[in-house]
Amino acid sequence: MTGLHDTGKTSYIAALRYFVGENDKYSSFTLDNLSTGDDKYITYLSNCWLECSRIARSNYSNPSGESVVLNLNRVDSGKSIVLDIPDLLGETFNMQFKKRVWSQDFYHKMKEVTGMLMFVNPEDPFNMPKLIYHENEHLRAFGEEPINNPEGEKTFNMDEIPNQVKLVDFLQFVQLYCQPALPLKLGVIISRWDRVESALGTKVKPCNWLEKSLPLLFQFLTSNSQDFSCRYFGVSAQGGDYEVDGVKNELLAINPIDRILVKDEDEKTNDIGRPLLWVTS
Amino acid sequence: MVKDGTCLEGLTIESCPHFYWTTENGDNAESQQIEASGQEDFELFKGNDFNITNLNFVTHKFNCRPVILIGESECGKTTLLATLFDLLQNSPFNNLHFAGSLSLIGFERRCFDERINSGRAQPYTLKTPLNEDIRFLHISLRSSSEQSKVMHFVFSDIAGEKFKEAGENSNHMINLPVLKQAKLINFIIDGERVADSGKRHSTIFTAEQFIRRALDTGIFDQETELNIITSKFDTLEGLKGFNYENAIVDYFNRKFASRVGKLSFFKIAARPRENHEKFQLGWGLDALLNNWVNLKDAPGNSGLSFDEVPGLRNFQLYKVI
Repeated sequence: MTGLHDTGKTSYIAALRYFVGENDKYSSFTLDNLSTGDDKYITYLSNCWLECSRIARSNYSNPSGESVVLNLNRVDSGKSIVLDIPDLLGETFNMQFKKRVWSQDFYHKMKEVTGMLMFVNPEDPFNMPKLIYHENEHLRAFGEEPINNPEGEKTFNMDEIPNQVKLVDFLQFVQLYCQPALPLKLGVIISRWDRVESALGTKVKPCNWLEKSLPLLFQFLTSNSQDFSCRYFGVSAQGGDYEVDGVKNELLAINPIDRILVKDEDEKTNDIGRPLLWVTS
Repeated sequence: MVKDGTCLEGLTIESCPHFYWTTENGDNAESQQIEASGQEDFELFKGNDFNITNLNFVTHKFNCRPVILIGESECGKTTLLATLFDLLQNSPFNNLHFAGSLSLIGFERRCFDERINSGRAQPYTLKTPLNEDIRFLHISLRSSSEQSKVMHFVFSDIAGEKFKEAGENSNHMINLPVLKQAKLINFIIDGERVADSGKRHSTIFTAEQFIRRALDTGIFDQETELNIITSKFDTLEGLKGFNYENAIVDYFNRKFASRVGKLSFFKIAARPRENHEKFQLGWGLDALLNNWVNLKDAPGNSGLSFDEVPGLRNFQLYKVI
């Protein structure tokens, strides 16, 4: 699992753990035997999810310092799956982008990876660049004056680079340095899907959203289909925004599993394991 | 290098005098040595623009189409590249889809001052520093009509002052081997200077002088395809007392059409003045891109080696597995 900070990875893993553990009848996965391993951190995340509590940023990373790992079995084949999340916080992703290095451990993991889930936050204002030219045109169209009160000119730094560029950059690392792993199954997960549907309607498809909202990434993926076999999912693991008045209580009042929304092409389900099922098949 | 880490002569990596390759930085073997010795980090490619020394990082991987841009300082070379990249960030352009770039950060540096984040009120392009070597940017594009066809382009970004030096002095002209190697040259005339009646004649004269010197020194020849691109064309549209066909097309055709392989003319306004109905961002770039798409790929590994780099060996084409 990969993606920038605040793209829904933590909510996904928390909801997945709960769903798989509590939903034997419908889940595509079962939990691996719990007689070994330390699940303290994942259990903590799942409890936060159940209580509709935001996880403090300081608690995003596993206190043990290790990757977050979830061991599952596919129901259909009995195949074991290890879901490895080396960078739940997303800060390592950003650091790799800026420093242009992978740790040896990460590099060797990437060479063996067989599938990947890449998370995207649809509400991140830095997904695409905003041009002065277009902004001034919009202002003029509404009869307003163009930008004339700049806050002060800045110099270029890597933090200003749009997210879609960073994501393409990462996938190019995989292309160049992880050849044995290609072609790679890549599930692109657009998180907070409930809010996307609130804004655009329930008929919007994840691939169409990505094409319009992260066009550089979409073009890259469709142009490199020999290296990346992609499927696009909209996922709402939380079910709503905890910070909005009343939403938290509404969510707490329903079955936690019913909070989950997954959009897979035209189909809707609350099987949060669906992206994982596809990427491991 | 066989799998046990020794060369054909039985020497190890550390002791073989011929074992090194050029990394993206032009350094020798550092990243691979880091891996071989088991140090902590695995170095990734930097994503910046390339120079003549490390351009083979790209050209050894892909058959590339060289797109050389040359012209006076601030004529619009960098703006053209930045605008093209920003247009692709919004959607495919001219039925061409972005398929990757090993110079993403190089492009982003050039685009930054066109964006809200820069804190500017008007879009701006930083001038290419004179003291920089010739820089190159890589981008790959896939055609909508030919789905399987991915084209790799290497754009040059040459400081305008180097152009000026070369136009005035044959020794400087000869020191731009990139012009000799590339068969297609895109010569940009600053439309804004042409629009200024006080600068029009000197601008056209400077362009004429450069091309003449390039032909006389053999840098351009009968195999050269020369595109003459008039930039910032929004400043020339409807300008009284100026006729583009006479002033540019007929003039340069008369002087040079018989001395080059092909002479073509283009009008662009990559980033036109705002509030101009006819001209939108990227105006004219579609015709130019069509021209570049029809370029032939340079043969792999040899098409863009402008300098002999000491110690380059064929084994650079291979990697340790």
